[in-house]
Amino acid sequence: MGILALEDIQPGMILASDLRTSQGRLLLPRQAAIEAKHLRMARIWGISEADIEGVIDQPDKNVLDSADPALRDLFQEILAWRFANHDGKVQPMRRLMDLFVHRLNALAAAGMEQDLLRERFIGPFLSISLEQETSAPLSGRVLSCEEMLLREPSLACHPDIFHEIVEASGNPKISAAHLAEIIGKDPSLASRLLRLVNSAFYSFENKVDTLARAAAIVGTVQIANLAVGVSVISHFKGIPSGLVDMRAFWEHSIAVGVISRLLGVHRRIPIRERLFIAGLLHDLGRLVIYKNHLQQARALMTLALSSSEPMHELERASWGFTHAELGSLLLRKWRIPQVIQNSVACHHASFRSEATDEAKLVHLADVIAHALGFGHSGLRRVPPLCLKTWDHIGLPVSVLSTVAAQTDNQLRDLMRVFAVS
Amino acid sequence: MMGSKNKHPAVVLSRLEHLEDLRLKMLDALESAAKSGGFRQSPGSFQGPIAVLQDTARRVMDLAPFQAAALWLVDETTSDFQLGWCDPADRRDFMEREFEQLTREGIIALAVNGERPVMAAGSAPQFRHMVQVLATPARVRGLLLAHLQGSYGLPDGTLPLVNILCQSAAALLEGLELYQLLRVKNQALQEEVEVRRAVQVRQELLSQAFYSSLEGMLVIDATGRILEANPAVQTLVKRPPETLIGRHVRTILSRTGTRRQFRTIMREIALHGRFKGEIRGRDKEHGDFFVWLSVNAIQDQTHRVGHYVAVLHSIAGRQELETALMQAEFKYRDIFERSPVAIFRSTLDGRFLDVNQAYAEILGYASPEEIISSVSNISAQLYVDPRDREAYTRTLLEKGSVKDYEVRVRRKNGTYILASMNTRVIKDAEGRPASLDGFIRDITAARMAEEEKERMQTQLHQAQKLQSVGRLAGGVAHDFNNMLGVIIGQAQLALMKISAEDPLKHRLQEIEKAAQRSADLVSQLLAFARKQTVVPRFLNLNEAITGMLKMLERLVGENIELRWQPEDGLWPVKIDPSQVDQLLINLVVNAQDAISGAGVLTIQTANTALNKPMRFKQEDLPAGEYVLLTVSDTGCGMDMETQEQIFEPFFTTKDVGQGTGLGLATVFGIVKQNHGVVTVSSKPGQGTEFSIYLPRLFVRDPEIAPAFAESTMQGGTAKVLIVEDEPALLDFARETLEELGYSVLTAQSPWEAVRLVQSLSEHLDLLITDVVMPEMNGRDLAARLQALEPGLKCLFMSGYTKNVIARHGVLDEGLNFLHKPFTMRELAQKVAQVLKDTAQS
Ligand SMILES: [Fe+2]
Ligand SMILES: [Fe+2]
Repeated sequence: MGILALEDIQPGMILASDLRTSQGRLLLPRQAAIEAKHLRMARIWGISEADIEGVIDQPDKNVLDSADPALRDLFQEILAWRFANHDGKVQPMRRLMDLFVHRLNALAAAGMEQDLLRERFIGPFLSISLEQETSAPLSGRVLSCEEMLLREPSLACHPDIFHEIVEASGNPKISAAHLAEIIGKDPSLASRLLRLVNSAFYSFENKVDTLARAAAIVGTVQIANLAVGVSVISHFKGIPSGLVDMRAFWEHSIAVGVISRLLGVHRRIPIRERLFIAGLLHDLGRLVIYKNHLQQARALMTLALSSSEPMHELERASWGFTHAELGSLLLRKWRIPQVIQNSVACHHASFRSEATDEAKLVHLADVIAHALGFGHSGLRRVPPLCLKTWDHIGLPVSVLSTVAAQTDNQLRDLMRVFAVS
Repeated sequence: MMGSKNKHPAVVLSRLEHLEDLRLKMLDALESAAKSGGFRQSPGSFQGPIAVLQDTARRVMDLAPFQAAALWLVDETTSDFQLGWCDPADRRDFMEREFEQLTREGIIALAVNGERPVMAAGSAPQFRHMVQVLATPARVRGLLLAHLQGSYGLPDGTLPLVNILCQSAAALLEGLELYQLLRVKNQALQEEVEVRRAVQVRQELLSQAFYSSLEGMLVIDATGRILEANPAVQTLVKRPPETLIGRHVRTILSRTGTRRQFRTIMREIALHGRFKGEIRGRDKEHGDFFVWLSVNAIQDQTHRVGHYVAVLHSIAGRQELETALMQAEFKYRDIFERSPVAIFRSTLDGRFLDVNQAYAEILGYASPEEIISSVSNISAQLYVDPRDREAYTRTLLEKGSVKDYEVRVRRKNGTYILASMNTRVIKDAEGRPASLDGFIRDITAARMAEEEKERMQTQLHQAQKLQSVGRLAGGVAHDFNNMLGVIIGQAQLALMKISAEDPLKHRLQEIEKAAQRSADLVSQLLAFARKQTVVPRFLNLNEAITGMLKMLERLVGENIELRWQPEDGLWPVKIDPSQVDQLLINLVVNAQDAISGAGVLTIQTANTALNKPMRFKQEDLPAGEYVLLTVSDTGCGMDMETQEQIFEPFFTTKDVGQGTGLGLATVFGIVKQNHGVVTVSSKPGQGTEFSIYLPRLFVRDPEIAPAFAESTMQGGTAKVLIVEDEPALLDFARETLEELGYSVLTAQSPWEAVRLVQSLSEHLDLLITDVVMPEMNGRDLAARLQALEPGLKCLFMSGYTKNVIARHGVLDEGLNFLHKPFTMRELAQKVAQVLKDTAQS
């Protein structure tokens, strides 16, 4: 007997132990033969795996077996590039690579060109000529973390409101009127939100003219999340599109938010909205660099494209700190709650003793989002996974396919809410 | 300053508009909550689960502009989800397809494993869904899928209301299942009763066979005494069968050779277990006669001979018939003896002629013999009320029989049982009543079980009703509380912005007052729903009540005498003192309403130890030690029906508009939250008594219960300096404190404050300052001023929480701190408290 993930179970297989829901409800007793309807029921109840008679683990099964033979080379190339920092024989990476290949298969089946696939999952090939820019002398001295932030002029405006909104977004009981009052203190944010709510996408019959009404219509938690996203987006306008694909950046950020929250649900952690915000903001430090320190960003990107070393390690080597520390410092200046600072600071260093469970979840979410190909934050290479963290969180590997499907749905919904698509 | 006040009419007007808008929204939300609450619904009012789903779907569709709402039901045996209802019906297929896709995407599982609604993308870009599970704390019962199209969000408050609706639907579904279980149980009871009745009928039949048999029959005990004789014996021995009963069988044997005949019979039985042969009998009139006698020995469970059954057959009779009859007799006696039904024969005047083992056992005697010999007067010895026996025999003589006659009977050990008797009068040859034959059943347990079942059912309904209302109230009240906070705050701020003569002032004050009253109502609701934050602590009820007496006396007025009877050495309890206030005020107000004119209201406390659980209408109280608080009045009292409803929210006997109907529901909620029980006993015209049992608190080292929070705003005459850069807030604080009698100085910046204090000739008592100010922070300012004015006490205020401030090192822990925004009352209380600490230190 052995544990099989739900999608690998075929009708006719025999259960080796009782199939129960997380609340202990018995769906099917051991020794029963599984039928198709049982698989559907298991999916409804959120069961991701079952103990099956006569199953042997096959660690050597190649993830590319399921791929179209014509595409196998391309897939191999994409996998090798993206997962350069990973051992594909070890769980949960094996399962993540498996799920990624499923996604590639689906895209190829839907008619996506090979070049496009390569471009979408290996790029970016920088469109601005790097040689020309990097030949300009870098500033003589390496800047410290603090100094980098000093160059961020938008830091001065309305950090109070931002931290109030973040706090509000963690409180599902907050009233629409109160939230509107907070956001109303920043007129430009308010008008941007109103424009968003009124955009053709929302298609209300009557024009929504007050924030209170907007919050009442769209829902307070959503407006708060929207406000956090929009205000961050607006702080970092004008980043050259040649260096970083901002749509992919936001897709990555929202996906890490969604996955953090979903992992929180599976781990039964109570405050999940805060997890979403932590995920959404985790790569904030990169935005500071992209916006105000273009030269350093380009230099680093050049380095990263020619090295398989993880990008945050290259950051540390070049500057003495990483985007995670930079982002966390900025959040501290904005007086965002400590927990969120911690999650951002430790999202590439979840092994640190001060990393909270929330930080660990954000770390996993970052790796999962990269591995499954939900956007990226600069480089499409999957950052390294801390296996100790995965073990510490203690989720079954089979949960990943459920999370992937749920993320797909929620991302579809939220990308529309944030009107990024 | 005047100028700036008049500059803002537009601001004031827009605020007013905003407030009215909010109020309308609140009313809307309240109305839909009330519509969807369904307080009066009980499981019994629904045909089945589908009807519950149908009702829920209708309510969901009323709440928000959903395009469709479909509900799935969990099959309790297979755990499968089945679509139970879809509104509108023609979207059924569509909703089922969406459900399948959401299942594949893991979204259904997400909703099933969480309690809040999940928003999810549908199969097409313009589709969006809300998924919410129907679950009770115990079980997932179903699932709601509501479909949105086009417009991309939901009105605020929809999600909690949908949540409430779904919980209430789940509770109904669970109730329905319980209800069904009860019905099945009832049926089983019914069947058992029928089986017993069949045994009785059979018994009756055999008994008739015995009595109407043409063969003479005798039942004889091991010593030879005749226990039973049927009427046919009379034709042989020429004496009524009753006169034979109790006599030795030798009575009917011929005087000549009696002993020899008897010995022969006995030897035969000892050898073969039975006797068959011709014997010489004796009748009362003519002397000897010959009869064919067959005797069978009947062994008891220990294989000793217990009884003999004898059949006397007139000598002309046929052998075969004899044997058949003999066997019938054997069977009868056996059944009589071993029957689980208690059978008796007694005389009209109250002696037993015969009873079986079961009968003896029911009444607690070891054997039939014991009861027959020790009871010589049934009426006096066995009947709890001897008059019952008179009525019983009277009916018997009139009608010849009684059926299911219920009577209380005393057992040997003195306890009582409730017995049901079926009896028939047996007449002698002349048609005179000779004896009473019948059987008896012990229905004590059955009756108690019935009563218990009824009681539990009532409790269940009551609890469910209160629970669902509580959930509803709690869910809605939180949101309203927030809205009310905004209304009150805005109204107060608006009031500060306008001049005293402004015509808007009155309207604003009305809004503020109404909102404040609503806030009180909400806090009552929250107390009922057990969501209000309470801080239970060690408390002596006597002290708490004594502290309230003055206030209560004012409350009840002069016509009503308030009596206070505290128990000495009352045990402590653990409860939030403000809840004691709420308890007493609600009970006293209730009593006051019940008393028209003059009357007496008594408040009592007592220690009560229960050594076994106590049963009440509302629920049971386990054994243990309790503090009993009784509030009784001499008012108009109430009938049973009213008593059953008084703890329901919004139940009131007062005219519309007079009471909220929340008072006693609040009492119920508070007592429940403190693990106690509240009961009411009352009769129309005879006053009412509420008893509250609170569990005794056992503590080794009780913390001293802090004094009650002041309920009125306390003023003073101290000199206060307020430093705050927001002019509106500065004005608000100054006006509030001046109103309370303080002498107030103000400064808009730290430096202004320092200059002011340097030039000050009198003594300054208190500094109230903002923590975060541009030039100098609050702590530095305080230090500077304390150097000028030793002993100056400080109160810091900030919009950040105390923890945030402390973490940033601006303020030490343990300093006096006031969180912005604050109400007048909060400010007054804090100032009074800080000054009081000053006086002590
Ligand atoms: Fe990162
Ligand atoms: Fe990331």
